[in-house]
Amino acid sequence: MRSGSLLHVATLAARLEDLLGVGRVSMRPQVSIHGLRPRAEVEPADTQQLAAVLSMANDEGLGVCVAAGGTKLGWGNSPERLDVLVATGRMPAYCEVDADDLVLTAGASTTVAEARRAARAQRRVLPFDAEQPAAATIGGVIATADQGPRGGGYGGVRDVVLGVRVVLVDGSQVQFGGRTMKNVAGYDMTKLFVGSLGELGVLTEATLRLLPQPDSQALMLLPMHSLEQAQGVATLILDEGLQPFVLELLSGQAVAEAGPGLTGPAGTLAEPGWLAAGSGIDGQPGWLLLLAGFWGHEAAVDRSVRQVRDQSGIGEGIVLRDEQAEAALDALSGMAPRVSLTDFTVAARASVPMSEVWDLTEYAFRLATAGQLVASYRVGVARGVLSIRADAETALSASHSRGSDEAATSSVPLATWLEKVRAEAVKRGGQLIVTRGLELLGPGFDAWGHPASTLELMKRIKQRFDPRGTLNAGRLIGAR
Amino acid sequence: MSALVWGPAEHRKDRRMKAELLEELRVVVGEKNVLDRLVDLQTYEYDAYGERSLPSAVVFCRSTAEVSAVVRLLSREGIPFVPRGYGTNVNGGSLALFGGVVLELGRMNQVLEIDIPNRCVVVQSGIFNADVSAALAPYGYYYAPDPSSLRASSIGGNIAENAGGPHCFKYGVTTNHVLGLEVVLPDGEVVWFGGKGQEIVGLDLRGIMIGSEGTLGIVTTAILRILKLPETVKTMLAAFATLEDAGNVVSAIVAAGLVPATLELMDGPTMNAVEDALACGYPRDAGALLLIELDGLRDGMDDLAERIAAICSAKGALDVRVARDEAERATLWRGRQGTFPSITSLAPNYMSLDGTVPRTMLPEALRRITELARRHCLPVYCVLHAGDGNIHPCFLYDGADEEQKREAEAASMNVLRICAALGGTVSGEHGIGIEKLEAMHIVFSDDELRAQRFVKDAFDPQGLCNPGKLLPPQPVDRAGSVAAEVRGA
Repeated sequence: MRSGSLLHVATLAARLEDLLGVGRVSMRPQVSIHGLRPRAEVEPADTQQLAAVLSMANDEGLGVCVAAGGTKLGWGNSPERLDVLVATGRMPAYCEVDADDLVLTAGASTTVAEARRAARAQRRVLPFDAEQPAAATIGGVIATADQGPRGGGYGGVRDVVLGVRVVLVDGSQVQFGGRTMKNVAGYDMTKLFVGSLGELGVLTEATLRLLPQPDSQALMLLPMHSLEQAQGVATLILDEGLQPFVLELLSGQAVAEAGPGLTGPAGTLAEPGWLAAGSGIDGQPGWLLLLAGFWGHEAAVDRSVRQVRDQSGIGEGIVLRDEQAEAALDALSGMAPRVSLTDFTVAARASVPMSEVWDLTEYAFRLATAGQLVASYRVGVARGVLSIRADAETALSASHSRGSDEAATSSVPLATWLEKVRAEAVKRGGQLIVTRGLELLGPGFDAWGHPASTLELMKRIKQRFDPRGTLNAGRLIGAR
Repeated sequence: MSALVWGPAEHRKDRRMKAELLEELRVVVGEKNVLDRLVDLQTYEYDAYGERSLPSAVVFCRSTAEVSAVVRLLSREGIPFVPRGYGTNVNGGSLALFGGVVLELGRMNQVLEIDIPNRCVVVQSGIFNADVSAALAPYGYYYAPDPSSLRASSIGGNIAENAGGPHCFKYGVTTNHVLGLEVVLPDGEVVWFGGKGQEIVGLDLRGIMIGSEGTLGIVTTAILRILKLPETVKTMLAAFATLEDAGNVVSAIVAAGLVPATLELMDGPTMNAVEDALACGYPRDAGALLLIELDGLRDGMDDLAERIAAICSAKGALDVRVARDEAERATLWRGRQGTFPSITSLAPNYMSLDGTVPRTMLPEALRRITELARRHCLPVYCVLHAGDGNIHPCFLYDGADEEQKREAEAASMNVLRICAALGGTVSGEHGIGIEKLEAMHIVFSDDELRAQRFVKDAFDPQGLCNPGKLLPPQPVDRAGSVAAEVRGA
């Protein structure tokens, strides 16, 4: 355990209980971050209590991390120190939809699924497509800027957040942005908090832009023979100006991870023969699935589907409409409880200029195959994002079978592979971040790989907001 | 000198620059690219806001390397500097408030790369906004943000102000269309924020840079997201008896789940001023006019247009008509883009604002503004990006008449208070500059201003980069304690 404070554990417990009352402080925390366990876990009831905890921790030199739904604890590097874990699960979860103004204001601990439901009840769409929306919170999604496949039409998290309320490390409560799309009063501080992984303050509320529920939507499930074919069809869709709100390529294993929900009520994808033709890229009974989603006026959606079929020469495929399309996309983001995530799952995400994502995918796959690594691949075509998921246990046994004498706590082949994929992504004008299982990649593996020139500036900003390094220190803006 | 305790008096004493420094600057950019004669400097002592402040020198830069070298020299000497494009700024943000050097970037106006596969264009920051879309047109693409000044303002200025425009209702503002920025930091270092990829790692420095009004550094190159030109565009004009009727229709269209590309509104007096100047065929008798444009795939477009027309009619439109061809469409838009020139020629001076309210509050905001103008005895002309709730009331007055000027200033502050009180903000697209420094206190607490100073101080610890803009001066009695807080860190 690393701590920046000499505060005795009993004293710490007493101080926290003074601030929050009994029943909100646990000195036997269950949650850990990259294997690091906090000394205390607290559950503030509201913003006032949260502010009191932060201010006390800051005065005492305690390290604080924040957890809500717990779906993103794997993001970032290990905290430099961790004394108090603030669990926001008992903060007020509320969600007000203003359908006519197309905005939603929610407590940061509201789950994405709840907020999406609330918006949908008024025929609006919340443009967040985070992983595991039933657990992921609004605050967590903003802190990580995590956007899923539907981001092709939604835009990034940065484009959706109109305003935030934040508690700064000294306990002061501030608010930036507002309820309007246009707002240029002062610096665009809202942007600074999106993706800041809680290093500058703790989010308590956000106001988000909503979209109207489209008249109609369609999701085409198109089996592909090869990456080249997928690239051809995807390029055609983009060049024709059809404006897909989803354009995502999945390897066979990625489809399996999404579970039966993705494949539609009839389970048509499993029918023998339908997918047999593909050659695959991930060593699984091999095939690739291209998802192309369209929304808008029914006539425009019909025309898009027709045009993709006619011009690509790929035959019928499967077209899911409206509710079915929605359900399949929910399955893709892991709305249903998933079985595929384990303690050995390593997840990473590379982002490159969109045209580079194909070669990067090909490179990652070729290298993995050569090293006998098994992974799943998802390509966000219009976003230029490659999401990789691999199982470190499998990779470990592969390395052992080759007589490696590395410690069995980290997967050297996996780490080496990801380093190479990162280098390739950087070479192509992008980057790669690790979002899960960092500790399985061995010490020294950086979750972000910041360009050095901007890291210095980030440190200067961090230093002013949080001079004592109280909040999530080192997780995003490292000392290294 | 810290930015936190910056005082206006510091650089007022002597605006002349040392001959040695002028010589060093001439070595960097060439003899004729440094101006320091009074007659030359006077060209750069104002922008579209109207106040004046004389710079000590003007330096024309042609490359990032030159900007960096110039800024390094100025940083070394502790001399403030202001980046400048074409001076279309309406908030005084381009003024060299405390003397110092104006870096003129209009010569950095090249398209460096058109990258269709990555859906982006790389441009130098001094390029006119309209020239970007013009360069993309042969490829079937365009750059979406379209401030009315698009033929006169630079991309660098658009980025500094996070400019909006009519099409922002559907497509978002400048910040939603910038992928990467090459920036010369206030110490002269050159860095990139973002790139051609869409995701950012770490703090969103690109996001904080956009809209920072040239106070955090100088943008020299930008990578902009580009969009395919829409397959079809349909432009409609709807006339109403009152401004309030038109405002209600805006809300009704959005509530019905329709997303036109634009929802522009102007009041009767504005419409008539435009008709007098440009003769666009606007209905002179109406009390308000809505300019609605739809774009996208042609399939379903007629149906959407009919739905909108039906909403307009149901809510009391006097007339709804659809532009028959490109010529008629261009005429309708010429009127909108010529609004400000048409109004401002009616009086010696005008004061134009850009407060924003949640769009359901538009009818109430317009009612209060009309009432306010009556109380201050000032003619008011209103034109709105109604879809965004962004209101441009324009008060006409005679600046030679002190009383009228005071009334106009008082009315302006009251408009901003109205917008803030209705859940909006004091600036939707023009920015703060020096014009709205006082109004910052309407929307931000001391803690919120302090947090913004953290950003300024992290980027520009010397406080040299466009000083005196965007952030109101720190109250003197607080300055000591805040500065101590940062030092003790």
